[in-house]
Amino acid sequence: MRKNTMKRALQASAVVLAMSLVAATASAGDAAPKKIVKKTEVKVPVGGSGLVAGVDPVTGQLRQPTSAEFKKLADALKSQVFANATGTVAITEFADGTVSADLGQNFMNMSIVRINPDGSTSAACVDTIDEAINFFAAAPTPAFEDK
Amino acid sequence: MNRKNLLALFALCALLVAPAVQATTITVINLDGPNEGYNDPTPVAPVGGNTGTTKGQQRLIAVQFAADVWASILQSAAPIIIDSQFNSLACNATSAVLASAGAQQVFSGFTNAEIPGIWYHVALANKLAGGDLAPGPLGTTADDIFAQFNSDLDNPVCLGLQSFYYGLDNIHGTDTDLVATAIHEIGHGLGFANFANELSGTLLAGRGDIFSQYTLDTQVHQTWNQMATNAERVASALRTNRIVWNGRNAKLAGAEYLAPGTPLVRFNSPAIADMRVGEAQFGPLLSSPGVTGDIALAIDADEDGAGTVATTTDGCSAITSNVAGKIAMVDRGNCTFVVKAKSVQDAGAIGLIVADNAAGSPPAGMSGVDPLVVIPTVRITRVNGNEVRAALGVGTVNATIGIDLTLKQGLERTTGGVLLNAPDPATTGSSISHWDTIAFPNLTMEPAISRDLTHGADITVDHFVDLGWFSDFDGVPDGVDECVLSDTHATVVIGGCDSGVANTVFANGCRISDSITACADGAGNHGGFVSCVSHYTNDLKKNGTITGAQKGAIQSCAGSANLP
Repeated sequence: MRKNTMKRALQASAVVLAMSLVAATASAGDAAPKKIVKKTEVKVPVGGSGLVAGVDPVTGQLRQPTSAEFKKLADALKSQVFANATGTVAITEFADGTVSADLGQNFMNMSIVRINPDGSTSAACVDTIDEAINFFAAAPTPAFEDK
Repeated sequence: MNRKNLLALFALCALLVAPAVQATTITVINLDGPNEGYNDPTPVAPVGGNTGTTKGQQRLIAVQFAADVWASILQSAAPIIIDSQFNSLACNATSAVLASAGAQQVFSGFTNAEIPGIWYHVALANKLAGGDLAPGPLGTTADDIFAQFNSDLDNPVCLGLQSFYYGLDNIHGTDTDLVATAIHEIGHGLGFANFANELSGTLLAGRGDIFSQYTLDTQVHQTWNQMATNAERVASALRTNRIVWNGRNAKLAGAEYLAPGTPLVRFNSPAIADMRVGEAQFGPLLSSPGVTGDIALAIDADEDGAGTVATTTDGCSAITSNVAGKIAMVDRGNCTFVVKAKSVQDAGAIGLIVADNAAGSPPAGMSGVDPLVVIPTVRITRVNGNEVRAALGVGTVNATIGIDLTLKQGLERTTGGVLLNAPDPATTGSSISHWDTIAFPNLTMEPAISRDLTHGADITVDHFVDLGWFSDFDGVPDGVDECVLSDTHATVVIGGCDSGVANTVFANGCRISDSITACADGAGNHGGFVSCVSHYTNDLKKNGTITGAQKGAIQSCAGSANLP
C-alpha cells in the first residue's frame, strides 16, 4: 500500500517536480528578509571547566587527571576545536516575521575517538568541551561485566 | 518513503532537469593558509581513487567527495557553502578529535517554512525559502556549515599509527575513513541535529527546532517541541529504547532497511514497553521465539545476616521463593551473574532477568563461564527493573526474553519510529541527535563512525525528507505528509488533458492527481484505469469535494488518456 502510494506520487510528480525545480532555480538568489526590528543575544553552553575523572595511562585505573593533563586537554579543545565558539548567539528578528540566530561555531558536533587500554577503540560525537574531556578521561565502558 | 523509489526519483529528476536545472551544489571552501591543511604541499601517491598528488589536494578531494554525496541526494536552489579547515585539533597517543561541524545559522518564521515558530538549519531554510536567507561574503558565518578536521591525525603522536584514509573507495583498513567522517559531520550541518541541550533541557532562545519536531518520547507520547518544561526533556533524554524519530518517511524506510531480530524483553501482559537487554556470554544464546513465562521475583537467603533487602534479592544463594517454570528476576550485585543464573535455574526458573543496581543504560553484557547454566539470562536497567517490580505489585506479568524477529533492529514497536540515541547518562550532542547504536545495519548518523559504513546516506535520506528537504509546499509538513512529492499542478491534468478541476490538497498531503496516478499505477489496462478513476471521482462527488460537472471533466480526461 505504502509502496504504491509513494510510487504513484513519485510518478505523478516527477515532471512537475522537474518543472518546479526549473522555476526554483530561476528564482534562486537573495531571499533574505530586509528590515530588522529587534536584535538580542542569548548565552549557549559550549563548554566549561568542570572537574573530570581520568585514566592512568599505565595502570588503566580510574583517577583524577593531574592539573597539568587537564589543562593541556582543555586548553587544546578551547583553543583549537572551539576557537571561535563565543558562547553567545545573536538573535535577529525581521519585520516579515523571520527570526535568525547566528550560531557561529557554538553548535559544532565533534567526532572523537579514544584507544582503550585493551586496544579497542571507543568513539562518540559530542558538542561541548566538557563532554569531550569527560569522554577522553572516562574509564572505557565495558561491553561485558561479570558481576 | 521507499528508498528505492525515492532514489529512483532523484535519478529521474536528474535526467529530466539536467539541461536546465543545476543540481544542488555543496561547495567546500578552503579556509586554510598557505602550506597547511588543505594546502599541505607534501607529495603523496594517489590512493583509492583520490587523484590528488599532495596531501592537501587529497584532503580537499575527499571532503568535497563527501559533500557531493549529499549534493547528489538533496535538491536546493540555493548553493550550500561549507567553510572548512584542517587544523591541529586536540589529540594525543590515545585520544583525538577527528572532526567537528555544524550549521552556522538557523532560521525561523521564514517564507515557506513548513512549521512556524521553530528553528531550521540554514541550508534547509534556504532550500525552503528558495534562496539565500543570509547572503554574505564567503568564509564568514553567512555561509551554511563550518567543518574542520584534525590535521594531526596523520602524525604518529596522534592515535599512534592510525591516520585519516584519503581514498574514495572506502577501503580504509584500520585507518579512519575521511569520507565517511565528513559525510557524518556534514549530515549534522544539513539537519541531523537538534538545538536543545540534553543536560539542561533548554531550547535555543526558547524555540523548538525541526529535529525536535519529530523527536518523540513514546513513554509520555510527546515530542520534544511539545514538552512544556526543560525538566521533561532532561528526563526524556535518558529513556533508552523509547525515544524515536517519528517522521513518516524515515519510519517507513527503517522498516525496509533495518534487519530483523532484536534482543529484548517483550511483555505479553500487561502492556509494558519493550526493554533493551544486555546479553550473557554464558548459557544459551538468545533465540527466537525465546522463552515465555510469568516473571517472579526471586528471594534468597540473607547472606550478610544484616537483614537488608538487598541481599535477599540478589540471587547469590539458594532461592527460597517459587520461581519454578517462571522467568526469575534478581538484582545485580554481590556475586557474579553466573552464580545468579545457576541459583534460579536450580530453583526451576526457565529464564533470568537481572535488574541493574545502578543507573546507566543501555545495559552492558554479562560475562562468565558455567557450562551447567542452560537457561537464558538478560540484563535490564535499574529503571526498567523498577517498572517490572511496579507491575508485579499490581498483578501477573508475562514476558518473553529472546530475539524478536518481528522487530527490526533500531525500530520501536508501538510507533514504528526509528530509535534515537538516548543513553544514561546523557551526552550533549551524542544524545538524541544520532540514531541509536542498536540499529543494524550500522547507520551513518550513529554516534560513532562505524568501520563498516558505506559512502551512502542510508535511511538518513528519508530523515531529510521528513525535515522538508523535498517539500512540495502543500502546507502539510513532510514528516506527516503521505504524498511528499505530490503532483503540484493547480488543476487535475491526466495524460496532458487539463480537466480544469482544482487539484485539491487533502489533510494527508495528497491531492486528487495523486489518487488518479495511483489508478494508473494499479490498473492492468485502460479500462481498469478508467473504472478506477470513475469510482474515485464518484466518491469525491459524494463527499462534496467536486461537482457533477467536474466529475465528468475528470472522467473525460481519463477516458482520452493513453494510460496506463
